[in-house]
Amino acid sequence: MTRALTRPPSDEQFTELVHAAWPALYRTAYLLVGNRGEAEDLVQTALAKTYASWGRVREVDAAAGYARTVLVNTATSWFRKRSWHGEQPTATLPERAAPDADPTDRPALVDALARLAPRQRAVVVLRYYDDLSVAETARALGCSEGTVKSQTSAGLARLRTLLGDAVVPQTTSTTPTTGDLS
Amino acid sequence: MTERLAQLLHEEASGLEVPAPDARAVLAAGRGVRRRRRATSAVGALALVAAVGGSVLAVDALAGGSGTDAVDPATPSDAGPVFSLGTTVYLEGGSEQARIDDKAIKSLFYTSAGVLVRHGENQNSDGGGPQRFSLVRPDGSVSPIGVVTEEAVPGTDPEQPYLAYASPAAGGSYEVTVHDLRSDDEVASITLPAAANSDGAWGVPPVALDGDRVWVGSSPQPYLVDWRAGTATPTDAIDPGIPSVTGGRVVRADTDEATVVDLASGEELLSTPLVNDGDTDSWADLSPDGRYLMVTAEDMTSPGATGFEVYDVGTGEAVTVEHPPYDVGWTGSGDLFFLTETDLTTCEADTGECTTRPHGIDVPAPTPQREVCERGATGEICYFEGGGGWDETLRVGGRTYES
Repeated sequence: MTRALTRPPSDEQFTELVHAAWPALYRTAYLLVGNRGEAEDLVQTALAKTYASWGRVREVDAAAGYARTVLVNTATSWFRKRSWHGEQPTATLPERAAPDADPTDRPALVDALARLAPRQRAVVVLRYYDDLSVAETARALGCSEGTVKSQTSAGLARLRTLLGDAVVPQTTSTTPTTGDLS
Repeated sequence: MTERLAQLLHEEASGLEVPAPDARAVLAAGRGVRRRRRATSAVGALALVAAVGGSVLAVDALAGGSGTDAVDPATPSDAGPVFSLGTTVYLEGGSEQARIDDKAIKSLFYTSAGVLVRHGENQNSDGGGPQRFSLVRPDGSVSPIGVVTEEAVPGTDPEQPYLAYASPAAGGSYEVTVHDLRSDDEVASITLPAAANSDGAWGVPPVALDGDRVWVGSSPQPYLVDWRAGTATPTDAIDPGIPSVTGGRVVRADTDEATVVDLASGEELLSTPLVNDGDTDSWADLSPDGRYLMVTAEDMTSPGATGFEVYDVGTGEAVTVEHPPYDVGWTGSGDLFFLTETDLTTCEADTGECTTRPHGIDVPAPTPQREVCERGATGEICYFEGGGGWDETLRVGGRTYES
């Protein structure tokens, strides 16, 4: 059962939310920004904004999801405002990796994510790490489902170039698998 | 086949050592954000009270009043998403509605007395004939307002119950009139100096109302009118043309940059690039309360595939909303909203979080296109009429619809 929120949370309520939501938000934040310190700042900022907008959270159960939306939008804002250290020039990268390229030359996953455009990075993380559906991702990012699909497709194509077909096979569907990942 | 990618993402994340949260620091930061938001609103209200308090006598001298009701309610109008379809105005996202007794609605303005509707023979603002006005109160009741303008860009302030507009005066000059929407009475009329001309784009100089001040975008010299004091002074704080003034702030834009300036201090609060290179069309628009700036960059070579950015003027942070900007409205409290044929989406300007729900309104059926021919002075003139979709007559609150 959910509880409607008509007034700001008590310190205890909010502290409880911070402790409950922090680990998952931190992991998502790290995949988005690729840096532990920045990830911590990002989660703190997102939770602070959530506190300030508590009247709009509506239900306690929705608070963590609300905070995740704020986190992703804040990250996107950071990417745009700060000449983001994780952004790499794309013009110099090959459209496709050479088929016989040495796999050890390929960037690590987080480095590859950092080379995606911010919106592509967000959809990849939300869909393949947070296991959100296309519709849920669209709601989280405040964009259309069509945009999510096109950004997913572009992001996967870029990751295939960077990480190789073994990680993102050529026949990849844009529908995430949410089965056993262990 | 994204199992491998998902697995790598989960391995990367689960291998992280997660630092313990500092809940006290988060709480303190949250309180700080909340305080800053409140302070932004409070500064406007304090400035308004101070200005009103210092000019009561001047107002009474003009209006002939006793002074007992000179302090205006500074309660901003917030009827949620306000829009119109056909001649019906919808408040609170459609839960309240009102019919306007005219042929078409031109635009919707927020005031503290309710939603001011500009209407007339057609939807056009320019070249559209007489511009009539009606006030829709929060309970949906409608009162016609005794003002008719033509080729004018009027001004309202969400925290004031007034309408300001310019009109031709004797001797070829112009005058600015302020009209109280609650009593349907004129409360001030100030004749502008001869240097305050219209630049030809409008029949009279366009104006904006901000507290006690009416900003007049006359050409070549803009003017600032203190309507309570009855003075008009030249100003360089705005440019000729429509004054983009709300919440004590102005956005000044050229082809490659938009800058938001605090009108009281002259401080530049935010600057953002615009792209107007032929292939891309950019513009910037302040929210009715002046807290947010909508910035667009439409790719003219790929129409329809565009979103826009919304900057928090106070913090400089921006969020992206993936929806064409032209039919996006502002609520009186600075949220964004837009409609589809079936749904209403509201987006928080500070977080970008959007909520979509069915609006439950029977939207107008698309009108068939027909050819209309009229006999003109030089022969028969034919044009096409209708042919639009359900949103052909849509007007959203908080947007100017001036061309």
